[in-house]
Formats: sequence, structure tokens, C-alpha cells
Amino acid sequence: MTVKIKPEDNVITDDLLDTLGREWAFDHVKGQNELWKNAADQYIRDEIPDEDQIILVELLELKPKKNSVFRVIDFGGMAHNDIVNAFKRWGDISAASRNSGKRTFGGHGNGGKFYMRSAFETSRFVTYRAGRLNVYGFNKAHQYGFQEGYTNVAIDLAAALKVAEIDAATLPLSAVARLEKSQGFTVVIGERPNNFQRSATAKRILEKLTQHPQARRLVAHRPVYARTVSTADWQLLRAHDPEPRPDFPEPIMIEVPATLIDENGDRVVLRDDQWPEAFLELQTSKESLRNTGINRLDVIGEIGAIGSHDITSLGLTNHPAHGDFIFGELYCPKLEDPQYKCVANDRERLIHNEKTRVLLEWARDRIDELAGQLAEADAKERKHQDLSQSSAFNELLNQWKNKFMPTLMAQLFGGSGEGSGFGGTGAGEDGSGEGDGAADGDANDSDEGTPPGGEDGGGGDELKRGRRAPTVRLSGYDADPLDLMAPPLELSPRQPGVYQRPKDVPEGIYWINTSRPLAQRILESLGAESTRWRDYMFQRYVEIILKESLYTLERSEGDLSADRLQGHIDSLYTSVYDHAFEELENFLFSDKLKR
Amino acid sequence: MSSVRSSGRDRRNMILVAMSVVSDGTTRLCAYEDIVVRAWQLFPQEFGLRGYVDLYPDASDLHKPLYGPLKRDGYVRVQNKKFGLTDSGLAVAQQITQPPADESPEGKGRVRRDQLIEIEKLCKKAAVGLVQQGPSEELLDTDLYDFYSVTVRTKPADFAGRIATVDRAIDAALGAQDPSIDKTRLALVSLARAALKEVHADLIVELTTVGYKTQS
Repeated sequence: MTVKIKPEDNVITDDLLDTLGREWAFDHVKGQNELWKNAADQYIRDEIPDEDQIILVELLELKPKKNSVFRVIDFGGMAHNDIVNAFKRWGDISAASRNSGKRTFGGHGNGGKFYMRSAFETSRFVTYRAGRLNVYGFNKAHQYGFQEGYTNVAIDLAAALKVAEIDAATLPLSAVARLEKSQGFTVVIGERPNNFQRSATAKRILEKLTQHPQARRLVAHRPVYARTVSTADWQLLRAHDPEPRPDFPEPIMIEVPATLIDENGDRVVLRDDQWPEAFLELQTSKESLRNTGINRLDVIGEIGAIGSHDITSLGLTNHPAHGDFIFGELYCPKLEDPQYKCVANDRERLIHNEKTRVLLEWARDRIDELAGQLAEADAKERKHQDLSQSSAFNELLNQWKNKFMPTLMAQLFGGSGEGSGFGGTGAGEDGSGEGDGAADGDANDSDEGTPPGGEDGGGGDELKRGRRAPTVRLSGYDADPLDLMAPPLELSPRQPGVYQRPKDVPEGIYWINTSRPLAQRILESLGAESTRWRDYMFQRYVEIILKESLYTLERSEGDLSADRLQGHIDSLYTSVYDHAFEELENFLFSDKLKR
Repeated sequence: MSSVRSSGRDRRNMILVAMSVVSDGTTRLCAYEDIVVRAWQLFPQEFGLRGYVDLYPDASDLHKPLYGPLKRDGYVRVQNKKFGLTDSGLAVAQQITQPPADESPEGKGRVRRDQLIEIEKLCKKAAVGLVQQGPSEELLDTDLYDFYSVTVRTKPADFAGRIATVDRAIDAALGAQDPSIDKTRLALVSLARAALKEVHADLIVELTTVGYKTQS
């Protein structure tokens, strides 16, 4: 059977308005934002440029505080017709634009009205345009209507200002100039505000508004003045972005993909011919933004914020802690496509549906990536600080090694032991006969290019330059001795614990690889001051000493058997550890050793 | 007696044979003088002093090949002015003195034992594993050293010798299609070699060029 209904007008009781208005009844930040948007929309309809869209906000704290008065003033003004055909109508989505085709901040035709109705004992607006004054508002019973005697009254501007209790002489100069041009104004007045007692302050409300995702954009692009005492000077509000991290100073722009695949496998278009632009702009903060209200992702439509989501609510998968240092905007006007149904009535959060979920998940992953970069940078900084401590220890070990090595080498290989470190300055090596004449000689090599007949030399005038004493540096921290202008040498965790580049070899430079997993683990879990880390560094020195000594041994003895190597290692370790026990006891065992 | 001497390659093979005899078929180090005398005894026409080939050896005939091509090709190692065959050098000497009876005319079907051992070692190298995993991991300089069993301090000629030895082993294995070598692993070894040579071309030049370090 076909159902045939004879349509009738809706019958709505005030109870529904009470119910819907509750969300504005106690939140003055949210409500003021609605009034500010209404003021901006009036300017937009009047085609006033952003910089001339003067908004004045008075949150006048009186005593007792419950008698306070909140006022918002713009210099546009509404005509009687606007009130009747737009303001009066609940839930008219064309109310803000008046079908002008202009993009406005207002969306659902509710916010400002509900705030006036629910958040004050009484409220009204005094509006003047084209020589006519209207006063319209809500009484204590939350009923609305024109104030008696003030419907479309023809009076001059000065008289209208008097009715509105606006003293033009106290206005900011830019406001006076605007008023002179427009010859109109609206002042919204709320008396005896709800939930404005005890610790609540007008100053705090204003602070929150400068951080509010929607109001902040108004403050950023329009002159919004405020005061909390009627006799005080007007203060221009500013939207303060947090100071960025020095290592991530610039906003990061990422284009939103044209399409994403949602959880149902359907394609969600996010950029098209009508809305070709969509991007994510992320910024960092030097200080944690947790609980500041700024640690969020504002979703921006064609003209203003259409939703805002705390970064924590996005659920960063890998680096949630570093998400506290990020905020940003997701510009995606396609979400305002009426078919998408993504924009909520209060524009606080996007409507939870498959389209917004897939977009927010995409944004979450980008934020998580940036958070990962912050975490990595922090880890590097921590490591740098650790390595600063380690560098002091390294210097101590270098001094110990330089003092100890000549003795050790003399002990192991004979000779005078003179010279600085390994190889000394030619001591113990064959002398002359080692020339450059060979076809395959190596400048640093006593084997190659040496005619075998030269073995019994030793009487030459010119001594071969011995290998320099090893210099030990820390990767990722110490300057490169061969290129002081270059950044510190960064090594891979896969490279050995003690590393040399080809150019380091003739200079006797060794790098302790601080990226090795064990080194990282010790630094991260125990710190650079720990005895464990000092021991780790000491062991790397032992490794270097052993390596150097093996080359010296090969040069002095030739073919090396396993037995000979073991004997050499035993002797070397015994000497090194005995000497370290005497000379480095404090370094190796003291818990409180610091640079 | 003919004064015509053999080609460079034949002469180098003769030196390897002489070294093999001096070292009793091992890779131990031998005195230069022993090699000179043995080479002359085995091949007087090649290594005798001109005009006195049956009376005196000519030491200078061995010096250059030993320090030059034989070392750079990885057949000979030098330590403290003593010379020893490498595994590869020993294998070549043995091939000359005792050619395998079952070798096919093309030399295909199996690789030399020393080369087989080299391939088995290469299969276990980190670079081979990295190539197998894909291009995500960077091939480091230390992967190059590990692949060729050298270090940053290996002398240029020895470095070149190791590259030559390893390359010969891989090429021989690729050509021989030896059934005892896993073809997939061999392919990965070959890929790892190509990747390392591409990534570290400059480093290889630096470390195999005499005097490069001091110039840089």
C-alpha cells in the first residue's frame, strides 16, 4: 500500500531549544566564538576587507561577578529584514550567507542565537543600519522578540550609539573610522552570564579564545580588540603560535592525496575540480603543548575551522609522547561538500564517519612521522650530550695511551721505546735500503717495493717517518681532525666498534663507533657517566692497541702462527690491564667520576 | 741455445712452479734467494744470467714479476721480504705440474678446489645477505672489506690481489656450472660483487692505487 501523507508544518516546543541550547549554556569560549563569527559574517556580506573587519569584545567583570556583562560589537549592522528573515529562524543554514553566495563562518544558523538564549539571564542586540535602529533579544523566560519601542526606529547614528551605550570617543581609531564609513553597528549584549563565578575570569576566556581553533583564525586575520573593564584601553588580541623547536622552525606542508580508500574499500575523494587544494600543515612547539588547548589538528574548510581534534585523540601509533609538541591545520574544503556530511553543527569535531576517519587516520600517520623525526632529533641531542661527557673521558684515555704506549711497545718488541706511541719514529725497523724505486711500492710500507737485497741495511741517512701515535675520536661528536669544517663523522651501527677511513690510516686516527648497538644501549640505559660506558671506551682502546701491535708484530716477525698470536695477545693484555689497574683505577671504578 | 724467452704469462707460471717446489707445495714463506736459484735450476733458459745461463741465475728476472703482476693478481704474498704462494697461486702451480686427468677441454664442469673454498666463504658474507634482502640496506665500506677479506690497511697490491683472486673464483664458478655450487647462492654472490663494485668504485681505486693515500 502506498503511504500518502498530507504534509504539515513542524510543531516545535521551547523544550527542544532548551535541549539543543545546553551545549552553549555554560561555555563562553564556544559562545563568544559564535558571536565573533557572526560579526565577521556581517562584514563578509558587506564585502569589507579582512583588515577593516573591526570586532570589539567587552567581557566586563562586575561585582558581584554574576552581574557581569558581555558585549560584542561590529560596525556593520543589521536591517529589520535581516532579523526577521535570518536571525529569527532557527537552524537556517543559509542564515549566515543570506543566500549571497559568499562563504561565511556561520554554518547552521544556530550558534549565536543559542548562546544568547542559554548562556545569559537576558540578552539582546542593538543594531543600527541605514538609519534604522532595532533591538531584539531574549527575556528571562528565554523568549525572543523585538524590544518594545525599538523596532525599525528611524534615528540618527549618535542617538543609536547612545541607545547601545557605545561611546565613540573611547573606541579605537580604526573602529571610529569604520563606523564613519559604515554608519552602522551591532552590539550583542549578554547580562548575568551563566557559569561565570569564582575562578572564572574574563581574561582567561579571552586567552582561550585566542587559542580556539575557530576564533584564533579570526584573531589572526582581523583586528579584534578586547577589554575587561569598561574604562580600560582596548587591547588588540593576537593569536600566539607557540615558539617552534629550533631544529624544526618551519611549518611542514604535505599535500592531501586526491583520494584515499576508506575502511569499506570505497574511494574517498578529497580533492577535485571544485576543491582542488587540500594540504596538511604541521608545526612544532619548543614546549610541550599538552593541556594547553593548542595541541590539536584544526580542520579548515573554505573559510574557517570546521572541526578540531586533539592530537592525543588521534592515537599516534609510534611516537605519542612527541605528538605533544605538534599542532597544525588540515585544510580540506572538500569536507564541506554537502553530500559528505562531515561538518558538525558546532564545528567542534568532524562528524565521525568513514570519510573523516580515513582522512584523520592519514593525518595521524603524517603527524606520527613528524613525531618520529622529533624523537630521533631528541635522541641525537641526548646522545650528543652523552658524547660530550664521553669526549672528556676519551681525552683522558688518549693521554693514558700516549704515556703508556711507548713503554708497552718497547716491552713487546724491544728497542728504546722512544717515540710517541706505536711505531715510534722509526725505532726498531730496518734502516735504509727501503726505497721508492720499486714498481709496486707503498709509501707507508716497509715490504713492498723493497729490493730484498736491502735487508741488511740500517745505515741510511734518512729515517723513515714512523706511524703517528694513534689519535682516538668519537663518531657523531668529535670534529674530524682531517677536515675541521666538516660535521662530525657519523657511522652506521653496522660498522665496527673501532673504525678507520682510508685517509685515517696514515694519520693514525681511529674512531670509536658510538652508533654500535651495544654502545647505544649502554648510553641510553646507563648514561655516559656510568662505569659501564667508561669500561666500554677503555675496551675499545685495548682493541686499538691490539690492532696496532699486530701490524707491528707482523712487520717485525713476518709469518704469524696462531701460537705466536696467542702469546702476543697474552703479553699485551697482561701489560695493558696491569697498567690500567694502576693508572686508571679511578676512571674504571669510581662511580662519581665526572669530567 | 735459444735466446728467445717465453711470454710474460709463461714466465710468471714458471715462477709459481719454482715457488711451489721451494715451499714443498705449501703456502709458507720462502726466501727470495731460494726462489731465484730454484727457478734458474728448473728453467735456466728463462732465469739464467744472459751469456751465462748455465752458470748463474739472474735475480732481476724475478723481482718485477713477484712484486708486480703475481702479487697484484693475488698469486703471491709478500711479508718481510719473503714470498709465499697464495692458495690461488699454489693451485695454479699444481695445475701446471699435475693437470687433472678428468678436466674437460673447455675447463667446464668443476672449479678448482681453492676457488670452491673461496665461493663457499663468499656465500656467507654479509654483503650477500644484504643483497638478498633487497636494496633497503646500504652496502658499507666495511662490507666491501669483508667481501674481499681485506681491511682498510691492506696494502694496495694485496688489495688488488684479493680482488683478482675473488673475481677469478666467481667467474670460474659462473662459467663452470659446478653442480656442487648452489646456483642461487652463486647468483647472489655475483650480484653482491657487482653492487659493491658499483657503490664503492672510488674506494676500490683509492685502496688499490699505490701512493693514493699520501696523495689524498
